[in-house]
Amino acid sequence: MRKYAVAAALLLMSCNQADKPPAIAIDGAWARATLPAQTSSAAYFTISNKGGPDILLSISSPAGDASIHSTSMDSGVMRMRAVPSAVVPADGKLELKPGGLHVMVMGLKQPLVAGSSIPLDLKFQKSGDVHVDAEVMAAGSEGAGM
Amino acid sequence: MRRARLIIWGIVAAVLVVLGVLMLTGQRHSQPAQQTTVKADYGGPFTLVGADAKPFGTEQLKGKPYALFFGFTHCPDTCPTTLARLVKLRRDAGGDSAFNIVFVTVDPERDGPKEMAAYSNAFGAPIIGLTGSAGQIAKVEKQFGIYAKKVPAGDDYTMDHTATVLLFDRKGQFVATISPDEGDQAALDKLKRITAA
Repeated sequence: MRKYAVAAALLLMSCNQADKPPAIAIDGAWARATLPAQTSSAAYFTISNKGGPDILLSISSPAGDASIHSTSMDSGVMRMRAVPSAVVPADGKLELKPGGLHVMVMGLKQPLVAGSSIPLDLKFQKSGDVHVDAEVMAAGSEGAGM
Repeated sequence: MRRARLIIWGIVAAVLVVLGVLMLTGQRHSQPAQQTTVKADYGGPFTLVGADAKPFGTEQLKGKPYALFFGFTHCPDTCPTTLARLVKLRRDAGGDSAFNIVFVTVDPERDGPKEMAAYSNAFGAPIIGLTGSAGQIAKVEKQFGIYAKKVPAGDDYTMDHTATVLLFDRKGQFVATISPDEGDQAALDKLKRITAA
């Protein structure tokens, strides 16, 4: 009997965790400046979450065709692929960074110039729409605040 | 008593003989072993096209160590990340002239000398950008065991490609590789090896 009570309590707790609304903040958003003739670039940021889990469903930008991409490394071969969505863990972080998950912006209408910014519209399953302006940094940059 | 002394001397003699044999064979083995490591013929000479649209051959790289990396200018993530990291590590290893960074495109269709020049100049430090005809690039990829494949992405395309950095000493001999997921310290140790040699 006691066992069941513990199990029920645990179940309830886990439900609580999942039911808790996500509390999302986006930090360190930056994008790489384009070079002459380059019409695509990547943007990065960290999504921190102090609540229940959420899912990043899509990203769009008036600047070009944005999508969520992931870079994977397999025996030294770099592959970049679109991913349909990305999970933001409960009480955790989802990092978009060079060499991993990133925002790929293709077909840029204008070059990205260092010092300017690029608007990104993120759509989350629970948190809804979130707008971010990513700071454009020189092509040789390794990240914000580095 | 006398017998015991004899036995001890016998053991000492035996140990000396064994040591002598080990030293001799050790010497004989170690020399050819150093010469026959994989280093020798990997890669080999090539002729490509420089960012000034003039032919660029391996002989122009002689006399200075170099880090060779294959990528493409439309690459939004891995290539700029790797090149920026190499520029930073080169400064840590002794400065912008410690060794050459050579960037060869795997996308000659979009990357002509002009594109390579603009790209190579964007990192605030000297990078040698090289392109060539589709045939020249395919040949160099084969020489260095580089995988590259066009992948459609929307209306455009991207490239899957080997992202390992290849390190050569000042004589053009292959020394080591740096993989993208390797830590900075390990990478720096390898770079110091090519600059010291």
